[in-house]
Amino acid sequence: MTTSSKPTPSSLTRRQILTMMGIGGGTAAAAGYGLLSPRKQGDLSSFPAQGPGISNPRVASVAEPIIASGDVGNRLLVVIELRGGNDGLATVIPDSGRLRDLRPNLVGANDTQPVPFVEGTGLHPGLAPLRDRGLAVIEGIGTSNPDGSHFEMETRWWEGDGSGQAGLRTGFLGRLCDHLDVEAPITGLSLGAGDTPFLLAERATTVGLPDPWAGWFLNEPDPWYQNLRRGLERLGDNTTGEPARFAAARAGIENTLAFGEVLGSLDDEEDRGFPETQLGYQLQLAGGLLDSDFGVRILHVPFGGFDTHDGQMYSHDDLMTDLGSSMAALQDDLATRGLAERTLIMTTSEFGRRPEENGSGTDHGTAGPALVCGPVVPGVHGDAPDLSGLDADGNLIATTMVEEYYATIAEGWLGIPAASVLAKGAPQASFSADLFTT
Amino acid sequence: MKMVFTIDSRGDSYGPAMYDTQPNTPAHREAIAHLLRRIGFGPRPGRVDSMAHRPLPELVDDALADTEDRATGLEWADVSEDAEDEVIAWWFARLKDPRAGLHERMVWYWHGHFTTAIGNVGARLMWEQHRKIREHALGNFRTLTHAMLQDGAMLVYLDGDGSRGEQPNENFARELMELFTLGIGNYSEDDVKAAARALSGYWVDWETAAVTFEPEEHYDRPISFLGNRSRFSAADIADALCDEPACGRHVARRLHRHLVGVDPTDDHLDDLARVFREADLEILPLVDAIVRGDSFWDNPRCRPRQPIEWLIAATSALGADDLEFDPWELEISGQLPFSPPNVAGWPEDDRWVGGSQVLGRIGRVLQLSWEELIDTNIEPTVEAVLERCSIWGVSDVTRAALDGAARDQSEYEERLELLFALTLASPEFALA
Repeated sequence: MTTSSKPTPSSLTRRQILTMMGIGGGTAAAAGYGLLSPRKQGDLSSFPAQGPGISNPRVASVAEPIIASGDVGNRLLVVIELRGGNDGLATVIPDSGRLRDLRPNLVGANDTQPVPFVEGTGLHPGLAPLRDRGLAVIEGIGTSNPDGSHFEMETRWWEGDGSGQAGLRTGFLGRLCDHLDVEAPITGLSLGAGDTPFLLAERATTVGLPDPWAGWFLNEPDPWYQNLRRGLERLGDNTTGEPARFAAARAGIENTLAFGEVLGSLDDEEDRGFPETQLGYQLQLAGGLLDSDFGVRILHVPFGGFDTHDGQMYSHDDLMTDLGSSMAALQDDLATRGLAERTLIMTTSEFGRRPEENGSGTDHGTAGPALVCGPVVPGVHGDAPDLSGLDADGNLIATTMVEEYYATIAEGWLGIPAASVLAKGAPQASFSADLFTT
Repeated sequence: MKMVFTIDSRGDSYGPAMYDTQPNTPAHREAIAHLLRRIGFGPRPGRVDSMAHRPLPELVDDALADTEDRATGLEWADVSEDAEDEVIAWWFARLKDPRAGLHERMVWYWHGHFTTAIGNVGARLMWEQHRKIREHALGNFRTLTHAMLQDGAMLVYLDGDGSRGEQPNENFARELMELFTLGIGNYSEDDVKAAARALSGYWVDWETAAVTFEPEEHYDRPISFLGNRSRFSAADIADALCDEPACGRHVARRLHRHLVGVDPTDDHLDDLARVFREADLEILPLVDAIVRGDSFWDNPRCRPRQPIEWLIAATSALGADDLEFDPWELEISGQLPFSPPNVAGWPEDDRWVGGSQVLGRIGRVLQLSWEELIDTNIEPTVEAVLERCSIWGVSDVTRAALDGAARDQSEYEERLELLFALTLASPEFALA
């Protein structure tokens, strides 16, 4: 039998490492429990039932892009999505006898003791590096009509519709991109989960790479790959005035080559102080992408494993340590690149977890805190939910609506009026004046 | 005879009428491949050749007469904890069955029309819905709509499950009108509220997939719906929607877009809606009118192949038919059966030829074993590779790229692999 003589990729070692980490090769492990969770509402642009022109009847209309003036005009946003429902009470930890009563096995059962944060509130020790660099916490984010389903709550967070009633068909981050830049090659980019509904936009170009190393074949030095690349360049020639679908397909090939160029230009071999984890690798790429001239303004990184029904005392510690050290490394990296003052790093998670433990873990809950790093006023913003005033299901009652969190980011950080990116009638109170230092 | 699909540099619409091609010519082969790309999931290597001696009208007749559902093993059995994967794998096997024809194509279409996602409803309910869609895929749209209004998976997915008459959930009513039957602009917000009341009173048992109606939770006072005031049951709503002229137009437009890749002209849509209406919403006559219509043949390569279509066609061209089912692979391709991105179903637009798709597809192809392909001793020429990929009409740009690659790479295996990689990356292969 003849065997293929197609050259072996030169950086096999790196590839093997990535595969081990679950992000290289074709059999990568899912980062979380399901990467492209279905959603009930979404983009209808594929069915312009009312003729040309994509319109979304349920959203505040996207008028002309609002180009934020002055020094907010070039700001960047990194969104780390903690998938599975992060346990907020083990992240930002109240010094509370009530909590210890509710969680006899989880609180103080091992050596993980909170580090001091603000009066009466500690942090998971894994987040100490963030505290030391100036961490803002926004407490109690959720909705007034919570749902226990991952899919349902993910959808609401992605769409920026805490109530789930607005019927939005684009993602919150996608709408931000529509307002930031509709001309850039890529305005919004997701690293690691393929296309995400979070970045569904009406007009801006947003893409999701299933795998940060998806363009490996474009940067192989072997002659066969060079010839492949040359062939793709010829296939991507879009200058001959072909019909629209052909032109779109050639533009897709051209964009592919551009991805390869950007990904190839990132020196991911260099030690930039990131932990050797999947998240660390993704955030190292994120720093490089934000520092490239590709036009990326919003970078989304999924980080899975937070659905800690069992064995939480072990798994959540690892997750927090990874998160804290990776985010801190990104902050340091951005400072080195001169981007620290114009980059905000924020987390989301579809829900928090129930205050009362189930023995070895916690079940789906409601409200939870978000971590915000960058030019922010350190400390706790908003009110922590009341542990002695739980709802009928024994869950926390949200003190800040998802939309309020998003409105703060949109208006205070990116200079986009909340009404332009959130549903009509949604809670849009913004506390940006207290959160940002610039 | 002039080769169809040759794209001239002015960007004019291309082709002579494909329908009149002479048997055994390249143009005829291209026309057959065009038909098979759109109504099936192929074509497989060699399939077009085996049909090339017959005139196209006969082949179209045969394709439209092939309405059989060849699926077996449709009984729900005890399945493992991986029921969702098993259900998806079962359907994937049907889709990539070389015999998959019009019936499977229409099952795929209705799955994206009457959308439901397995992640929201679980394997049991999804399976029951799939059985109904298989049963009615080429049946009657009114019957199908009735079935979907009583379907447990649909009720759960769109929050009809447990909706009470006094405070009904409007989600199902809205999507039913906006996406499944009428289209935006053909109903009012009051119609949504009224329909939500009429659809109330249903409960779904996730274990058995049974749907029960609880009369005391149903809103049984008169409502005003689409201009009529009366008491409405869910079945009455289905009938009222199917009676609306907008319904036939909406369904005809969506199906045309799926099969042709673009919206029909107003005149053509009028014709299609009239055919559909006069057939009492029988689905096959509508499909027939679309496939035999000028727009189907005048718009070659206007329809992006969806990821699953691309994957099936690409792996069969490479001889990797025993491709193992891998939900992760399908998921990162952007298209896991039973998991549409949202209630609007699978997109029918340019995103399937966008950069992240191309990147993922090439990477996927390069990871496949090439040994079976090399064992077939295909000539490492541009012509042979195009034929293996069922392409007989090729644009000047793509031709130049492939000719250049053949010059660049001299050794047999390496040249063959390069030609395949580029052909599978080309617009000709990405479009149907």
